[in-house]
Amino acid sequence: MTPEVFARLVHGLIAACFIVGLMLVVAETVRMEQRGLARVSRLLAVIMTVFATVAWSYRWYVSGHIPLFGTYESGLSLTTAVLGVALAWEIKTGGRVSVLPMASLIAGGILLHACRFDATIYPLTISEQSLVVDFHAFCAWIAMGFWSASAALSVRLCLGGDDAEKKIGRWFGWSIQTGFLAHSAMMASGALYRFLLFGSAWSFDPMETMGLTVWLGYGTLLHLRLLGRWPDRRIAAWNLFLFVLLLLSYRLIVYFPAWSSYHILDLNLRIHVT
Amino acid sequence: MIKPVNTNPWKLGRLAYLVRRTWPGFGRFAGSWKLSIVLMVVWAFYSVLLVIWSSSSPPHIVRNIAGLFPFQVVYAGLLINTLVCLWLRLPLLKRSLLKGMTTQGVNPRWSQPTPGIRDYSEAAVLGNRWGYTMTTGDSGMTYGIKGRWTMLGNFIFHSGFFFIALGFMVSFQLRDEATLCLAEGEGFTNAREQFLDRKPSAWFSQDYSDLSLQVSTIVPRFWRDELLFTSLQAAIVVDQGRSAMTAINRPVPLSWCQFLRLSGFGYTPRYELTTLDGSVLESSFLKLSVFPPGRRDFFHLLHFPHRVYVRLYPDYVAQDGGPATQSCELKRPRFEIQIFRMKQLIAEGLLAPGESLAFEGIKIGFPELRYWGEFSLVRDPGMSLLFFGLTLGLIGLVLSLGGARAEIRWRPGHDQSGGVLEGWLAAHDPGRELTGGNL
Repeated sequence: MTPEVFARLVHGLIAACFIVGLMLVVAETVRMEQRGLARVSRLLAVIMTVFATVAWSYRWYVSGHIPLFGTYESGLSLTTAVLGVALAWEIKTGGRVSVLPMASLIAGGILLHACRFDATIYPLTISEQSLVVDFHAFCAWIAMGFWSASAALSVRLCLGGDDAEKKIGRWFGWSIQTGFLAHSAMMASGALYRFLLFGSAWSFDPMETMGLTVWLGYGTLLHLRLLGRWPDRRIAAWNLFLFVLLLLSYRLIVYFPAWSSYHILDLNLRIHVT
Repeated sequence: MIKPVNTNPWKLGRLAYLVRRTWPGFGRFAGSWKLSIVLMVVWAFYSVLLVIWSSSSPPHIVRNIAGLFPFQVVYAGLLINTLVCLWLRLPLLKRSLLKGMTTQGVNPRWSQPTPGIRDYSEAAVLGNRWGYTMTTGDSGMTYGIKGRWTMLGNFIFHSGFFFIALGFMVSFQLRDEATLCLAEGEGFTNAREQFLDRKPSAWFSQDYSDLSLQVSTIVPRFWRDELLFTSLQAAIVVDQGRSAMTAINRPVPLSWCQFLRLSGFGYTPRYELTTLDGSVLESSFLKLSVFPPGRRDFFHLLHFPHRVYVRLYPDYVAQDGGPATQSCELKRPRFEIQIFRMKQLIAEGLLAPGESLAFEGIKIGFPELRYWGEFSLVRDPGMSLLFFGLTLGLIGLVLSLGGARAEIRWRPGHDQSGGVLEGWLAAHDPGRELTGGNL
């Protein structure tokens, strides 16, 4: 596969995400027959996830490392994770509680943003050559997958009636808790790796601080749900706001000055010696 | 005669009275989940401000801001709030860990006939499928419990905060850091010139006289001709003979709280000053800051008034009429030197290893070139506490994934008509329909 073909594959994936997402939104709006919609959404989820996994695997193969280096690679990985979690969700719930419409749109948006950055393949610098950083990145992708699922369920809760709350409630709670666990694991592994790299576990780097802000926000969400007994629809609205913050925390770092953060991994944005 | 201690019982009694009177109110306030929310939101707001400062202020300024009084109030407030919350919820924790049913005498939240289930074993199979741990009691009652460990997980997660806070406090007070500069083949002698930087702890200064460290080799690898390390490792010998490899992201533990890692790199040429007939006058290795290529550094001759400026081109190539380097690999090193006496330029030239430049009756050359490494030595007892707290937090989160404690009970019906399933605390999954064919 040449780089041009690969680029077309990626652009096709972006288009597929948006088209499928919009199709499913329309289908749900006009209330397509439930079982048929479930079958179609599962099939589309499988196709898109396969598409994304092929692109991600190919990038891994040609670059020689897990795609985590730079905004482009991390965007590709996040897209694959969001779609992968959405597919797993379809299978787990039997299509009854689908997150695919919103997850497709989120995946397409992330990949569209990523394609605006340099896609040149660089070898991993020393500071990214570690199993700890691989685990850190993996937790970040899984967290994004589950937060996207919870955001998708939040949209359903906000737009649906009381039936939606009864149907989705258990899954909604589970998506938030699992996302919180993955996010916490990401922060813990990040602290460990920062210690290995710099000798201290925390430095208030903007990426670290943004991650902490989002973690605190989701912490309030869990407290409001479990202790405050807020109804799920109110929680859903707060969850959507936090999801926007989460997206910003994941993607905004590349707009910071190069000297302000060691998390800027795009080589054309900084002299990245180590 | 023993004189009684002058304690005023009225004062002590009054104090005890005040504590007992205000404790319930204080307990309710300090242990309130609403206070938790407020403190978390305030901390999140502070964090947003820190992020904004990060875009315009150097990192050390941002770190100092994060240690100011308003932040400390939030940190302390959250710790006190967490402690009181956990204390007040201890009875609930004890209850949630019980093996048996805790909801006897309480009306079930939901109940559902089970026409397809006629005995205890079939009910147990259904309960197990729903994630409950089913038990048949002495009286023949079949009940199931799930989420028994969730509250414990919650406690463990929140307990981690105290270890993390303690870790940071200990680190802040006791952290000792030193940056060493050692060339290949050089051993640590505790000489002042081997230290690039020292940051002793607030309470004591670490003694490094017993540090055993010898650098064997330093091996850099670059990607193509770019200023991009793909590998930078140092082979060292520590602890009177233990060999180890260290890299930027691979510290070598010297003890339970002391770590050494390679944190920088440079070139160490050996200069040789000779007479015109070759007798050596001076010779020494120099740890020059001439990396990355293009940087210029200087040194003074020991017994002569001259100052020598040096640039190193590791992979020399002539470009646009001047010297340049193709890569950072030491393939064709060249030294571009300028020799000054006071402010007067005496001589300049481009030397390969082994070549020399004559000036004022003497010659200078660079016969040997090695690497030097910057080694970061950190002693921080707080890190172990901090990572223990993080580990506790993650274990607690995993335990609490099971969801809130829920109990179900199955009662047989009359006249072989199947039974009734009753549930407490967790919502019944409306998607599950109970028919005989589901078992």
